Parts: sequence; C-alpha cells; structure tokens
Amino acid sequence: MEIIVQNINYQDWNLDFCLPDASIVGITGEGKSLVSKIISFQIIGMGTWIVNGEKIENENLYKIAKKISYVSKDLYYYPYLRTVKEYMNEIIKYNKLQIRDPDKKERDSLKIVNLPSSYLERELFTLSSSEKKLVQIAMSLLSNPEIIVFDEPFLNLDLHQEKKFYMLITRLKEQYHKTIVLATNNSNLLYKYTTDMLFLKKHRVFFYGPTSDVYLRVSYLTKNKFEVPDIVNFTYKAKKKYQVKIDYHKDIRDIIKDIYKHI
Amino acid sequence: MKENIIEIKELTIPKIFENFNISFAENKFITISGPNNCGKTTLIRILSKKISTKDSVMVRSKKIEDYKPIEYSSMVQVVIPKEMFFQEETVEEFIKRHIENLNIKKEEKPQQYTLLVKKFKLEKFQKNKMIELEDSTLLRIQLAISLYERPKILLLDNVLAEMSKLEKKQILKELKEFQLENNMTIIMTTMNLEETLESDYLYIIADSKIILEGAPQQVLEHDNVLNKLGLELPFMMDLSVKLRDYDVLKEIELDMDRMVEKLWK
Repeated sequence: MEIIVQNINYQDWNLDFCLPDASIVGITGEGKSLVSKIISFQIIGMGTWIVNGEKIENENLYKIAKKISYVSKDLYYYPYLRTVKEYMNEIIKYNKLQIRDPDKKERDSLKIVNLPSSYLERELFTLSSSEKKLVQIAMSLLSNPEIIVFDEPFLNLDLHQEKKFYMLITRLKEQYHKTIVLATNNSNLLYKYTTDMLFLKKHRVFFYGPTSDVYLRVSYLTKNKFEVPDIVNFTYKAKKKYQVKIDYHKDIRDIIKDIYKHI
Repeated sequence: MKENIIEIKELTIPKIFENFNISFAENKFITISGPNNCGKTTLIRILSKKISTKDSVMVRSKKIEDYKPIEYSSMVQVVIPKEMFFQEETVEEFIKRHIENLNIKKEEKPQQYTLLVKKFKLEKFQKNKMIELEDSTLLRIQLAISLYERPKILLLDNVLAEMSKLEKKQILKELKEFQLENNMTIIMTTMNLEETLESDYLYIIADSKIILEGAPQQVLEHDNVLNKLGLELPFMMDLSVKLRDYDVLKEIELDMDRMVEKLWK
C-alpha cells in the first residue's frame, strides 16, 4: 500500500510525505514519536491522504486508520488483563475487529513472529523485554494491517534480538508486503535497517528520500543538526580530507577491506 | 584499600541470579552492561529496595533490609525513565510536588525550589507541561529531583537509551561533574557500550556471572566475547580493534579525526 500524505495539520505541525509500498521507512528528528502517532491515527491530524492513488478525506479516514497498526515503546498493563490471550481478546473487542475464528487468528499472529501458541496462556508480567516486543508485534497483526508503525523499536534489544527483529520486519515486508515505519534517533540503526527516511525539523518533514542517498549528504545533515551514522561519517572524512578512494558501506567488515586496499 | 560501598554475596533470584557476587567501589562512576535478561534491571530494583533479597546485599556495611525507607531514600536515589508523569502537570507543579516529600522545613521550600531550578538550568521550562518536553529534559528534571538531597548513591536504569548522541554526551558530562563534586557513587545500566566509555569502571554480566570487568576501554577490547554475548562495540572501538588485529593500527584510537589522520596522512 502506497500512502501519500498531503498537508496534514496537527497543532503546529504540517506534514507532507510519502510512504512507498513495501518499504522500511525511518523517522528521525524532533517530534518523531508524535509524527509516528499521527501516521498511525493514534492522534488525528486533518488533511488529505492518498492511498494507492485514491484520495481519502474526513469521514472516510477510518478506512485507512484500520489498515495501520501502532506498536508503542512498551506494553501498557491493565490489571484485569492477565494473559496474552486476554489482552488479544480485548484488542479484538475494543477495535471491533471482524474475525471469524479469533482463536486461530491469535495463534497465527504468534506464529508469524515465531512464538508457539502456548504463549497465549503466558502471563504478561512474566515476559522478558524481547518476548514482550514479539507479543506486541503479534498483537498488532490481529487487524491485518498494511502498515506497522514502531516507536523506538530497538530500545532494550541486544544485538541478537536486534538482528532477529530485523529479520522479522524484512519478512513482513517481503512475504506479507507490509510497510514498516521505525521512529528512532539512532542514525547507525536507521542507516543499517531502513530503505527510506523522513527527517523532521521545525514541525514538518524537512526532507526525505531513499536511505542510501539521503544519509550520504553529510554536510547538509550536519548543518541541520541531524545525526550522521558513524560509518558514513568516517568514510566522508577520509574522502574529503585525503581523497581516499573508499566506498560507502553499511557493514564495518567491508570498510575494513577498503581501508586495507587503500592504505 | 577503600571499602566497597555495596557488597552483594551469593544472591539468588529464581530464573535470574544464582549465587551471584558483585561489589561496587565508593565514589566511582560505574556502568553495568549485558545482554537481554542478564539481570541489569533486577539489580537496580534490588538496590532500590523494591525486591527483597534474604540478607545477601550490604550497603555501607549494613544489610539493606535493616535500613528504614526514609533513611535509605536519602542515601540512595534511583531514576527509572518509565516513571509515570501527570500529563497536565507543569514542570513547576511537578517539581514542587516532589519537594513536598523532601525532608526540609516548610518555610524553606519556596527558596529551595528556586535554587533547584537554577542549578539544573530549568528556568525556561517552568511553565511547560511535562508531556511537551523532550526526553532529555524530562531526564534532567528527574535527575534534578533525585540529586537534590545529595544522595551517596545514584542508580540509573538505562536512562540514556532514547537520546541522541549529542544529548548523551552532554548528560554524561554533567553526571560525571556532579559525581566528582559531591563524592557520589553512580551505578548506571545500559545496553549501549558507547555510554560506558565515560565511566570509571565497567562490568559485563551474563548468566549470573561477571564476564568482564575493568576500565571500559580495556573491557571493550574483547570484541569477540562481547559480540558473542550480543553486545555491539561502539563504531570507533570496533574499527580500532579490527584494524589492530590486521596490523594496520598499533593502538586503539577512539577519535575519528585522529584515526583518519593516522591512516592516511
């Protein structure tokens, strides 16, 4: 699903941008959490949405809202929802999701994130932070979203969990054709894991484009106080200061090979 | 030799720690890192008296259970970023509410408020609502309140995770200064090894054991051990260690400009 957002207003914010079909889009800069909430209709901004070429406005916005899931930094606990299953049932009830076989849907959602259906009976507070993230993703899948928005997804994930998370969102993108949105200020992770980027500044999308292009505009990023990924910054300095012929890479091992060649 | 401010012996918490031992030196900035589920947060919760421990934790040579809550909280303060804020509350209201709970004379409270706001450079935020603030400002306010009574020990649980590099650098610098000025012990947990570089001493824990410990830069030279545990080296450290293994570099260089110079000048 391709989404073009035109002139969306919320408080001081005015937003224009595009979420390409089946992409992993990063959002960074001041207000990333707020914008990720606007994209996922947690906060309602007024304006025009164009979905797969079709213009959608005002009273019809709920049609897109249904297609977008939001995964918050952390799971909110409610004292009366003890197990994963109880929580999932509540989501289905609260959002009035039309599901023929809720039990099967719940098991299938867990299966997509590689958790066995025994997790349905797990009590929420016994989950570790990485298990919680997977359960949150499974919960977000209950509504069959086409876009999943994550606020600070890498928070509290170690390297192993981070790689697993990346494999999972890649699978959701490739196999299930979903668009993934990641909001974080960690430029190293954004450079490594996204396909497209939105940079926020002064209450708007300051600029956007494919990750491998925009992150190479080092002097522009620096001038506008956006964080530059370390690996890009290093390569940029070598090129600029000593005209070294090394290429921009995403993996440190590739850059080491390049250094070895050009020393 | 200086006495340890905290001694943990044979700590057992089901599923997390089994006969775990660790001790922390006084007046140091200490960082603790480790993979998911290694017990970092549990350790902070134990030290803030939220989990009971059956006599295995000594703080300043006294069992943690033997401290009265008020006595303990004036000595040990903890900052956990997920603490709930009242959305409609302004910074002024929030800080005043916390000063209410402090152990100072009532007539001195307004004056103390002014002092605190000034010291932590919060003047321009006073009328802002808590919900409108950036994460780094929120953390500054939490720190201001927790440092107010000059605790001997400050516990920080992964407080820098959401900040930009620049904000992290600034806060680490301020913490370090405050720690030196006030002879305080800071214990901070983190997943991001870059944040440990400013500290005096780093522990890597996993499976109820201390896997590595020492000055951060020396600990971080063990890239294979750390990667295997699931911890990522800061870029410059990773690059240095690998280039040194290839004999391209003689020693660790953490400054990017100097590294580029060393390689190509």
